Parts: sequence; C-alpha cells; structure tokens
Amino acid sequence: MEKNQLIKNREAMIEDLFSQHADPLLRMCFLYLKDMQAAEDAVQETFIKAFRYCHEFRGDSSPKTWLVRIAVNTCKNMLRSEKELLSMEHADMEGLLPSREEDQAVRLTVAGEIGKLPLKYREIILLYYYQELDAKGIADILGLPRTTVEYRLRRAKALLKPGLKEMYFDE
Amino acid sequence: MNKIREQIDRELREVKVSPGMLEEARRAAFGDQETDQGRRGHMTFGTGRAWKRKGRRTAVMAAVLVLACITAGAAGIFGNFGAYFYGDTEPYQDRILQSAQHEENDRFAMAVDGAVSDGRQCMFVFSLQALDSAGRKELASYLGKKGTAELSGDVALYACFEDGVREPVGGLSVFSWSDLQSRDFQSYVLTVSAENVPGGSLDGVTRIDVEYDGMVLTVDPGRSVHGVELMPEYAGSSLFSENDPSDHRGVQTPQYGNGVEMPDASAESGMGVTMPGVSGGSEKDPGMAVSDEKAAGGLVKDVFLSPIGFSFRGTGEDFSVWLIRSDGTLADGENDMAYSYGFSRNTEDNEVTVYGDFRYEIIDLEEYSGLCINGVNYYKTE
Repeated sequence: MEKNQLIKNREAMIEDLFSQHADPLLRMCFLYLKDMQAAEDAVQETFIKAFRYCHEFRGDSSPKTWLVRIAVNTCKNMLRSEKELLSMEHADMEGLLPSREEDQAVRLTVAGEIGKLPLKYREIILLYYYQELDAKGIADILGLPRTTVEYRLRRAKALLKPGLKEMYFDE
Repeated sequence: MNKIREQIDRELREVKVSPGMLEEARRAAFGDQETDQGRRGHMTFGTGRAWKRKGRRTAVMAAVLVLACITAGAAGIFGNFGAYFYGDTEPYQDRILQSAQHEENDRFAMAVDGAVSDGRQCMFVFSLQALDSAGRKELASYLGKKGTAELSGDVALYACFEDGVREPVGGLSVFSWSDLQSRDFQSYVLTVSAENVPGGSLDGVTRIDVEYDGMVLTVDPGRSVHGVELMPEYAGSSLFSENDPSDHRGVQTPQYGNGVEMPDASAESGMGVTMPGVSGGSEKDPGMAVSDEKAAGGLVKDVFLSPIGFSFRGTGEDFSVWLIRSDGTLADGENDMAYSYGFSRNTEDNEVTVYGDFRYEIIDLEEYSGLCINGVNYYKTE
C-alpha cells in the first residue's frame, strides 16, 4: 500500500476514534485533571498527536488503547507542567462542571467519588472501569508492574466502596 | 458496559467535545508541519493556550525550601500571610518575621508581609498592587496565563551573602493565588528550592531581595533559613515517574528497624518536633492497608513535624503519609488536609528527602501525636 494511502487510512481511523471515543475521552480527562478547560485541552492535544503520529501506529495495541495512552500521557504532562492543576485535587467535582440546567442536574455520585480519589487510584479506576481496560493494558499504559496495578485497583475499590453502593461492583 | 461506566456517562452526559474539535486538531497537526506561521495560527489548544481558572486555590509542589510570595493589590490588603493560612497563626506570631516593607513607583506598590520557617521550610509573602492603568494592564496580562510563567521572568530574587555578593536565585516558578486576584492586584505563590540558591545553601545568606519593576524589597531570612537541609537534586514527585518505565526505580527492602536519627532542626527553629524512630517494635496500624510497594518503602529516618509541614528521609519511591491525631485517628493528607509532598533524590545514595507543607494551614501540634509513614507510626516525644 502506498504511504499516502496508508496515512489516509490512519486518518480515517482517527476520525472513527473521534466519533466513538471523544466524549468518553473528555470525561476521563475531566475526572483525571478535575478541570474542564484543561480536559478539553488534553483531548484536543490528544487528537493533534494522533493525527501527527498516526503513521507510527503499529497496531501493537488496539487503536482505542493507543488513543487512551496518548490521552493519559498528555494529562500527566499537563500535571507536570501545570502545577496549578494539582491544587484541584481537593476540589468539589460539582463545582467544576459547566453550569447545568437545574432540572437536568444529576448528582455526581460515582464521578464525585472517583474525583475524591488520589490520582494514582483515580487513574486506575478510570482506565479499568471507564475505559474498560484489563490490568495488563493498564500496566502497559502507565508503565507499572501488573502487580502494582492489581494492588492499586483493589485499594481503589476499597476506597470507593464506602461512598458507593455495592451494586456498582457486582460485575 | 459496566455499571460504573454507565453511571459516569449519565452523570457527565453534558460533558461533550465541541463539534469542531476534530477539524481543529487536524489543522493544528498538519498546519504545524507546513510552516511556523501555520503552527502559530492553528495551535489554539494545548500547550499554547492560556487556561482560565477562577476562584481556585493554586498550589505549589513542595520543594526543599519553599519561599511563598503572595502578591496582592487591593488597597490596604496587607497581612496576606494570615489570609493565605486558614489556620490560626496567632500562636506563631512570634515566629513569623514581620517584615512589612513597602515600596512603590508610579505603576506598582509592593510589600513584603512576613515570613515563617520551621527550619526546613521557609515561606514569605509579598503583595503587589497596580497604581495606574499601565500597571493594571500589566497585572491583568498575567491573569490566566499558563502557570503565570511570564511573571517569573519579571520577578527576580537575589540571595545576598555575608561577603556582600548578590547572586540571582535561579529556577523560579511563579503561581497565582486566586483568592486575591483582580485587575488591580494579583496574588502569586513563588517557589524557590534550595538547590537553586547559588552555592546550594542558604547558610550565610543575609537577605533575599525581591525585585519587580525596578523596585527592590528585602527579606531578612534570619532564623527562617537556619537548619535548611540542602537537596542536591530535585527529582520530582514519584506520582509521575511511573509514566516512564525507564524511570521506575524499583522497590527497596524494608528496614524499619534502623531507627530514626534525631535532627537538631527543631532546636534551631524552635517550632517543630522531632520524632524518635520507631525501631523493630514499630507500631504498624493493623487497620491500614499497606501495599507491598509501600511496605517496601525502605528506611525512614529524620522524621520531622512542624506547624507548617513535615519532612523525613528514606529510600524507596512511594511514600504515603498520614498525620496521627491526638486521639489516634489518622488524617489523610490527600483527603483530610491540603498538603503536598515533594521529593528530592540524592543520586549518589538514591536516598530521597520527602517534605510536605500544610497548604493554607498552620496546625496546632498539640492536636497531633505524630506521623504515619507507609503504615508505620512515628510518635513525637515531649
């Protein structure tokens, strides 16, 4: 296949990824960074990188995992460079959302509890439950030993349970 | 789809990307490769974008030495030191250096409000107020800028030594303090780590000059800098190292039995308390889950707790710290209190010094009996 055709195919792949995963990605970044503006930046940056480096995608992982990895790394870089974001660690999630219609407002039960978790547990929960990755996939993305991921997942669940109903963990 | 994901989607259903984001990303990605002009034209998101954050507390990653400079500008708003710390500073007034200096030119008024130190960390506060439209415009230009990095180029700190030498303190990072921000005044938190001080030490530093717009204010560090432990290298928080597999430092063997050295920092500062080590009989909270990595956190020593922060040295790469209340319950630093950790790693022996500052709070030591580090309790001695 010609290179140009390959690139076109990859761009089409990114368009598909956007249509399928952009909103969930934004929600993940929001819960990760706890800052809507930064989350939008992170998603935008993720797709910029995806376009820019799509020709380097080798298919070692699924396109979705590849995209999530870019997003997570982008969020981490933002936390590194934007230390101000760290102060959001204690922010109330409700107050961080765009203003919502009163009658449409939904209490942030799960999102709020996830938002209270320390980052290292929060990212595990987001990748496991929200991106539905397994421990190996999470370990690959985060560059952590699988056992560490599994421990943190257990710990994160334990931290979440008091604030959530058991029903969320029955799967 | 699992229930948690379903519920998150339900709760955050209004969180959606803008329809034009994909096209903007495409233009940014490919426009960037065309010309520099293209990049400037298209990079409206990401690293080139100023983030807007209002009414939020900003923070500083703890450093070996923290010099917190908070600028404010509302007429008459001085004493920001007390505003910065929500806790009652009254018990520590005698330990807060009341500099209360004031300088002004046509555009700005600047004042140093005070400084406080526990011998290991030092914070000082200064205020900045716009006096005319030009000054107001300049201050407003900093609002919302990314990390207020541009201001760091305008504010300068100099360490002045006993021999009269005046050297710039490098590596400034300036962060805004939102609570006192407006077009007329802005507040910032400025962080300097000891490693950035020329010579790597604050010993012998007789004063620190703060310069902005041609104005110079001096802070007499006095006792504030006594006993500061120098960190050869600031390695950053381990929170992020895990993103880079090559930066994974491995896990150390537990050596809790080695005890804790007694630093003399508290004697110098008179503020903090040192906690003798917990040896083989260290009390491990049975109710606390300790991960294998944390249990393997390695030797911990020189545990130090003060009204404004804590510090200890250790090996390993992942530490969890709780304050032990007088009633024996634990206060989680990540949830119950606002404090941050900083790590500084000595590349020679791979030892890290962990330090934390109680952000916005000066605690009453009477209310706490010690620190719990990686599940091991360290109690202060009277």
